[in-house]
Amino acid sequence: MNNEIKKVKNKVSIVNYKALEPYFTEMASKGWMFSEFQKTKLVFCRTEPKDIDFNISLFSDKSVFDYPKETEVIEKEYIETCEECGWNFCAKNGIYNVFYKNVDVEATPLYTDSEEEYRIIKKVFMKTEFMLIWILLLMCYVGMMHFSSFGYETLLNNLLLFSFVSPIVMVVAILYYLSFSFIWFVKNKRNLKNGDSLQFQSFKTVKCRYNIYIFMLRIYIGLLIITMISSKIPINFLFIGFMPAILGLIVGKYCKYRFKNKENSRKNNIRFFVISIILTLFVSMGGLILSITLFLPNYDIYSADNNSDNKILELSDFGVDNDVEKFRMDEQSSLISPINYSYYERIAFGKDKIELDSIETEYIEGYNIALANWIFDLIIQEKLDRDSRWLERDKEYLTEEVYLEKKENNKLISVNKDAWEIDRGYYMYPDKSKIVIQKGEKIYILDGNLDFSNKEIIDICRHKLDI
Amino acid sequence: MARKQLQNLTEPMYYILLSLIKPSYGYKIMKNIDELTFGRVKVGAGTLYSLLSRFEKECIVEQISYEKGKKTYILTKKGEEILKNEIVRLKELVSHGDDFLGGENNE
Repeated sequence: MNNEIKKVKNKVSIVNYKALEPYFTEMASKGWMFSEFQKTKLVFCRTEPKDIDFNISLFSDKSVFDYPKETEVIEKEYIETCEECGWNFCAKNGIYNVFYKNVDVEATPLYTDSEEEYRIIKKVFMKTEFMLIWILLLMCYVGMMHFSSFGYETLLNNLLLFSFVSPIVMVVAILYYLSFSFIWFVKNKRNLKNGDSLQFQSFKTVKCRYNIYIFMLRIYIGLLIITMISSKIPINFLFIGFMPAILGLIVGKYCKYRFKNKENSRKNNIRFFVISIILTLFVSMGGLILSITLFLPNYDIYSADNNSDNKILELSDFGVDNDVEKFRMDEQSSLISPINYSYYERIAFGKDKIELDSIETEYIEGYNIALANWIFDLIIQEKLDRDSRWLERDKEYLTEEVYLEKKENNKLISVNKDAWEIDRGYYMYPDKSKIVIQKGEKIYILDGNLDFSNKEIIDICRHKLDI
Repeated sequence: MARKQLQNLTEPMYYILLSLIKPSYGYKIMKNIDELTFGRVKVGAGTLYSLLSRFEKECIVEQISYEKGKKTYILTKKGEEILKNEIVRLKELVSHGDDFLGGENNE
């Protein structure tokens, strides 16, 4: 921006396009004459302060699928007619035609019939901003998928947390944006029914709403950046994740170029666009599957040695030293949990099986007690839900007696808090071979062929895990 | 400007169709309506071109020539039919009004 040119973001939605007229008038009176549209920006040039009226009309018959030369003739004639009526042509983009006149010149407004104007606004809105509804539906679908798979593990990784939260943020932002347009349509339909004129909001109100919308989108982008940085995702994984978006962008740009430069009917262009989108989806999905197959083996999430200071249980703690395979999941953190990891050991396949053949330690730390309680409750709830789901699934194959016995077994058994010196804990199986315990912000899930109610085992665990 | 509620055609629609009994183009249509209604009905360029495009799509009007950057339109048979029906309807409305008010005045 220099002293002669001023660029302002166009914050006006289709239903409030009229807000631009008084805004342009105000700017002209301050010595800034509107000169052109630049993508999402309004460009003003420095002039002498003038008293000018602006009138804006919408292109209702034009869409991105039209070959521009086809609509050029009617556009030219339209502009000439407006000029014959006393309006001077100022600027246009794909949606708006801007005209102006000196305040003392008499000219008929471009729209003189409110009902027709309402119809035009609706038509243009359906062709442009309403398209956001597709993103909304997609986000609702993604959101529902994440809701159905929500569990305590979602809270332990920022990427999963983002996948869960981001559709909600997007749905709220888009609903927020579209809701004002829908309200406008409902309100003005009523106005027309009562014989009143269309009502538009002021530029100030529109600007304020737009800023809130942009704020929500910034939250989304902020969350995405935090997730990317904190999740330490390898660059090839990032590429895989963004591949559909990158491909979509390239295809979109090409379509735009093609529709602008190659003479085709609207119908043909729409057909071409739909086929391109379907192909892009197929290529993206194929690319995703191929990339994951190629890259995943190289992404070593397991490490044989426990080099960190993480508190874990090992088979050697219980006297098993030979033929042990070690698996350590990468340490991770999230906005809910500063650190969580899991470690697993087992006797190598093909070796003689012994009583204790595997042991797993999952450690989760919450940022505070409330968050740790939340994670703990989710772990327990998931176990109860899973058991009850499985039991109901198998109900028809079980006798009444077995069913009731299994139902009884599914009940939680409390851990002896004093023996473990913890806040709370439950055995996950009746044989007490899996246990979930919480002490302050720390949660442990221990799983192995052991009796975790045995005093000797408890002592080893407490010593190793520093409980 | 809020339009007067008409059942079938709005006032701008009616006068545009009426103007297109003879071949005419954008600005001429607007002028014609202005003169015909003594300035009572004003049709803005935005409203006019939007309606013309609608009428053309619905085969109510058709383009007969394009000269000097101006498209000239005329009413089609379908358009004439719509206009005639509207005139009959309006006449009926006026006749009912006359009967009613005339009867009241006689009393």
